[in-house]
Amino acid sequence: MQLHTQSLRGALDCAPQLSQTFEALWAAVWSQPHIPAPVLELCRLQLAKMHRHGSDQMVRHPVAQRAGFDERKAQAVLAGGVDPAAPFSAAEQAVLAFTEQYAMDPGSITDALADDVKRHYGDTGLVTLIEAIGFMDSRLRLASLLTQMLAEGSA
Amino acid sequence: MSGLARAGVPATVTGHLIRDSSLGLVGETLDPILDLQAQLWSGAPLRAGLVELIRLRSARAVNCVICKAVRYDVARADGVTEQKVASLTAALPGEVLDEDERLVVAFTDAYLSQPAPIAPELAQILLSRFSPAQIAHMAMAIGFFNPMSKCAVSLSGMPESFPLTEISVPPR
Repeated sequence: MQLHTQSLRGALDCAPQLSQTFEALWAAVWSQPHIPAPVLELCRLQLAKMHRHGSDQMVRHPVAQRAGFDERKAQAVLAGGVDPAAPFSAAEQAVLAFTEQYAMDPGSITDALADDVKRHYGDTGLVTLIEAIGFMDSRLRLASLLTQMLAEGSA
Repeated sequence: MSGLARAGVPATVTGHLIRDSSLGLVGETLDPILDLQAQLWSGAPLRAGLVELIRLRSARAVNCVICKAVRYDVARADGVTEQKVASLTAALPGEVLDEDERLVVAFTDAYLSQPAPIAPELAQILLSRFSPAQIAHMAMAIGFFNPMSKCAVSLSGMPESFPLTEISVPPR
């Protein structure tokens, strides 16, 4: 079974108190009001693509879906292009450019990339975005690593 | 590495290390962050010294100047010495670390190397040496401290150097 960012809890619940708080943090990332969930969902998919994480590319976060996430944009992110019928907004472009650089090396993020995010979402939005993509990245890594370890354990 | 901080801080000063930082701007995530941090340092099911080695190995990989300079008092009390910390700069830390310590460092490296597969032999040793709850604790420790170090770097404003500083786990 391939874990993904949303099913990761199943591998962590053997430390129940920690797991509960770890999930509360993940839920807070998706319910905060500073960056819309559909925008965060584009970031998650971009990170999943960069991590070559197949199962995470197949799922959609329910909070983003309830907020009207546009599947055409998901497909565009995964294909590395743009759907002319559903182009990315300037805010989405700013967030996706920031996410891509973060995934490659947080130390190489430029002030211009950060300023572009702040132009749309302010300082609080920038901090929210950095936290969100950080926990997305970590859950992608853990989902992949723990899937491999569980497979070894059952081998 | 240095530069101006990219985000401000809350208008109200509380005297709390984290609440007064840029993280304090996002009230919705702040409390779960503080709760998780406190639980990760609680000493169970994974002892604090092992959590500290995970945090510092990750901080070194991210090159977070402040994260690398900080030492948690609970970890020092649990036997994390500067000799052990210095060994984390090596690709393969040597005899100064005991078997459990070397294994948590190897687990951290496996996380940092994703999506490259973990060596099957390492996975087997981890599974036989640690309980499932301890492995889950390891996973959540690296899954928390790694993005927090990356957050500090991404927000910029990092000094060129920072003195070695012992801190306690921030209260909620």
